[in-house]
Amino acid sequence: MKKVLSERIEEHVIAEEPFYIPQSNEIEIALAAYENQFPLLLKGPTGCGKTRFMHFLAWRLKLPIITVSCHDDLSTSDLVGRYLVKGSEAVWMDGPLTLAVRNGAICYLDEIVEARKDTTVVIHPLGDDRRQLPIEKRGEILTAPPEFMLAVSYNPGYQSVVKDLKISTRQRFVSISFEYPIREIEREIVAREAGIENDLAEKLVKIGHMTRNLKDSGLPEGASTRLLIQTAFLVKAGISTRRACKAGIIESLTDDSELIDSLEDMTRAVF
Amino acid sequence: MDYIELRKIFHEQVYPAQPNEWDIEDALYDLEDLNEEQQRFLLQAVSTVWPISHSLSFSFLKEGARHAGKLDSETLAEWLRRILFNYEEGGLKKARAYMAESHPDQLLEEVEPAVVRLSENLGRLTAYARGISGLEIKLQGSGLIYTDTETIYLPEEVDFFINSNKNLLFYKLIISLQTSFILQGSLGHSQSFQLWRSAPQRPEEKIKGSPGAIFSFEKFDDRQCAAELYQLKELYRSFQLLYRDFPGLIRETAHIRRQLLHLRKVNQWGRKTILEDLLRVIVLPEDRCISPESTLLSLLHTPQQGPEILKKMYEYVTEREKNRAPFNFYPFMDAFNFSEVGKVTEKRIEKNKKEFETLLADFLIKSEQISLDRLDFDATVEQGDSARLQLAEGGTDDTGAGASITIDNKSIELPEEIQALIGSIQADLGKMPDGYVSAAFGIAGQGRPAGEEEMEEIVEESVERFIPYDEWDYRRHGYRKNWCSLRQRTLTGVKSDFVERTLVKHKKVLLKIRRQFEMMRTQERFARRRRYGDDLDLDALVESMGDQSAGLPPSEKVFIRLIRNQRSISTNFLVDMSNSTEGWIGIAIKEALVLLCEAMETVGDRYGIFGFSGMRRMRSEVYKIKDIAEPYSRVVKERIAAIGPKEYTRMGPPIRHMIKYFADIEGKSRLLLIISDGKPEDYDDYKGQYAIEDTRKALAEARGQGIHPYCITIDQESHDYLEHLFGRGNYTYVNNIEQLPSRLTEIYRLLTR
Repeated sequence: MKKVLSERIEEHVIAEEPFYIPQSNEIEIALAAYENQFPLLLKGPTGCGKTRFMHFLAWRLKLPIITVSCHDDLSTSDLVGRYLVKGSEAVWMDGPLTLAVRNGAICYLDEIVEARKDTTVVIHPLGDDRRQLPIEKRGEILTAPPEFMLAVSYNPGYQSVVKDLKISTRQRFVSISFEYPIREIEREIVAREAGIENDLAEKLVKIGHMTRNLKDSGLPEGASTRLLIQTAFLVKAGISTRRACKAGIIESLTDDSELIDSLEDMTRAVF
Repeated sequence: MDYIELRKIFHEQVYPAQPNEWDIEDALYDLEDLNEEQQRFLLQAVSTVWPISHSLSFSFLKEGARHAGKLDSETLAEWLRRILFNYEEGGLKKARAYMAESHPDQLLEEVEPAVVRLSENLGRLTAYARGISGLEIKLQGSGLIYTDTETIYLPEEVDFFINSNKNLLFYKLIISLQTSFILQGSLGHSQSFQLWRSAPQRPEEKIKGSPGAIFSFEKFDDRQCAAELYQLKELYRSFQLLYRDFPGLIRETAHIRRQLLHLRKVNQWGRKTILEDLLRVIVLPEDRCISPESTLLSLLHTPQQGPEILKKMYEYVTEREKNRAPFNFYPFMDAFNFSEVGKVTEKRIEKNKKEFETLLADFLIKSEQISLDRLDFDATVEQGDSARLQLAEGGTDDTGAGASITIDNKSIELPEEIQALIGSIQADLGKMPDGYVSAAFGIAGQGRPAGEEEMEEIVEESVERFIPYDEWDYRRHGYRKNWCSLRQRTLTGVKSDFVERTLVKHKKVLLKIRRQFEMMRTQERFARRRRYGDDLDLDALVESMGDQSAGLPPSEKVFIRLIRNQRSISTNFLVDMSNSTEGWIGIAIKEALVLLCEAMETVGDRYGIFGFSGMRRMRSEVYKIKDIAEPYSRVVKERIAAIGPKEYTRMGPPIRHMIKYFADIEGKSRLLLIISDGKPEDYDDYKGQYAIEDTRKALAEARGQGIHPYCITIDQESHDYLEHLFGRGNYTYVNNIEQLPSRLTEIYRLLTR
């Protein structure tokens, strides 16, 4: 029962500098939050670069980053840890959160609104000046080292009344709002990430902007940078641009046949 | 054209091939007898046939010359299509046989024109227009093709071509051109426009004095000619924009643009003017057959855009053409309608002025640059005169970025909202009028809205049977206690087959809705770590055994149970019953409610429906259509049928009433869904910023009570206030009223997923 199984933290170290172009002063704010041991809340539409930013931050701070994709069934044990039976012995297995706290890493809870509200409460004592993680089953309270950083992300455009972040949770964080990058930066990102020519990247970004013009006007959300990059990869794989746009962007955005026609019209106009 | 000219064009069409001269001579021999238009007609088609078969091209020219008199653009295209089909099927022999036997003049009789109607494609084309421009443009059927910068007017239907795709493509081309006019400022909404204006010293006065005269070409003797040349120049710029941004559209429309040019020949009356070739070059620059007027063309291509170019063009044309006939741009467009643009601009200027004054006044009060106690009205005007609006370097663009206000040598940066407004005002007027700032100081100094006395007079009205509600006055940063009173009434139902008719009308949508909502109801999931269940939860079991081995009390919750999701959601729908919903909007709202009830019954969520309207602060009314505890019955259906337009849209009291109503309703998630067709507004001073701020406050109160408000607005005009009112992501607008029934249920589904 005494033994603690632990993942090798080195596996979570980002060795190479991730490609990231700052949109505003997000790096300065995040570094200041880290210096002051504040947790970080990243807001922004899906696929706009939140996760990439966290990877960049981890690389910059030379810290390992442990990412947890939150979902409906995520329990407190999944985050903190649990006992496992190994042979005739019970061994404790650290959860990702505990692992990050023990090793002074970044713990990044992606799409936190997807997790059950009772689960997210576990981060409360970690998120304020106590910086503590109680491990109930072991009767242990871990105090986070100065290197530890908690970060969460969510998409405010995800309009569901049943899924929202508790006020008590969000008020613990320093928040950074992300938007899709400006046209020139986005073009550079798409071109570089997918390894395509600037001209094609420019056109894909143009289509991305056109879809974003239809937000709240039929589309709940426009095409993300991620979708544009995926589409660029499809083109690179030899699929014609129009077909790639349909499969990579249009069909992923809507099922409405009228809007599909409209988006196809736009694609045909650009390519 | 003589043989030399014909040969030259032929070579251009087949370049870089160098066919035998005797073949060319033989093929062009019959063409010499045709008129120029017919010659060009046939030669242009060679570029299509040549890459397929050189021999076929020569045969085509010979046969084409025989039928030339019967061919117009439509028939030529269809005839050519069939020739190529025969060639692909049976080679040169079959194609030649077809050409010899066919009667091109009868081709079109075999094919019915495929009419495409704007009304049937409105949603698709509106989304296209908005997508490519990023502007909230509306489309409307009309006898003419033009834009007033907010609406694009298009033909009700298009049947130029025998192929419906081409007719639809025509709509897309015209929409793209018109949006380009708006974006590049051809019609006035940009700085470049100022150069062309008849240049009054104070542009806003000119606009006020004579609406629509903002673009009069007064400096030219022949204004009509100047206007046509200006339009031609802007059309050139528009096409350049399309070439740069929409190469796909340009490629796809090459054929129809050529056909439209021919069509234009057929329909146009009057003499050919010097501008004709120029139009051809603009519309079809890829067409090397056209030999344009070189001086005018070089002027068009001049990179600088200034009045000098127009003057030069004007001088050139008027020197050569005395008593010229009006030039016709149809079917690519009709004349720029500056009069309509003027009206829209005037409306916007007035709206921007009011909004700027209110926002600046509000900002001044909030930033404590002006004290309400300290200043009286006269003093504020004086101070307003001494205060200066400071525009940033290069701040005369359309953004207004970097604008600040200087008071007593102290500079304060203005909020983004005001800066954007300054950008819009500058774009319309060319500068920021000083009077606007003084007026804002005046409002800030008064500290209370005009007409408040009038509102005070009726405060003593009876409030019996009415429930009092506070109202938020943003100028005093406080509530007006018991300022409004509201009465809840039950809407009396009417006997009608409205519900049945709606269910038949939306049969397809209904099937889809039922399926979608059934999926929500029966969404099954495995609940883990249950005391009882259908299967063992291995994770929980291992954990429990681990705990036991570790000396901890093991958990008994080691089962998995299949359960249906508990949807603890209570929703109240608050429907706008103001008189602006009269007509089709009101019917669409009622139809939407019918479908919604069907959907809600399928999913089993608890819901209530209420309508609201009223007049003045003492008589707000909420009409019960369905209480949350009431079943969806015949009575409810009769009440839905009875929904009709009443009076005004004072939104604050009904929202506060719903907050009170929600207090007694259980539900983990509580949703207030407001369906409205416009801004909050009442007969008294409940309008503009005041109404928006009160409604905003009421919505904030709702959020404070754990209620999630969400608004669906039916798009009648641009809704730049919506985000301020409801907050980001808490509203949507439905552009196409016909889509409201299906959109409403879809939005509800997404909100409660």
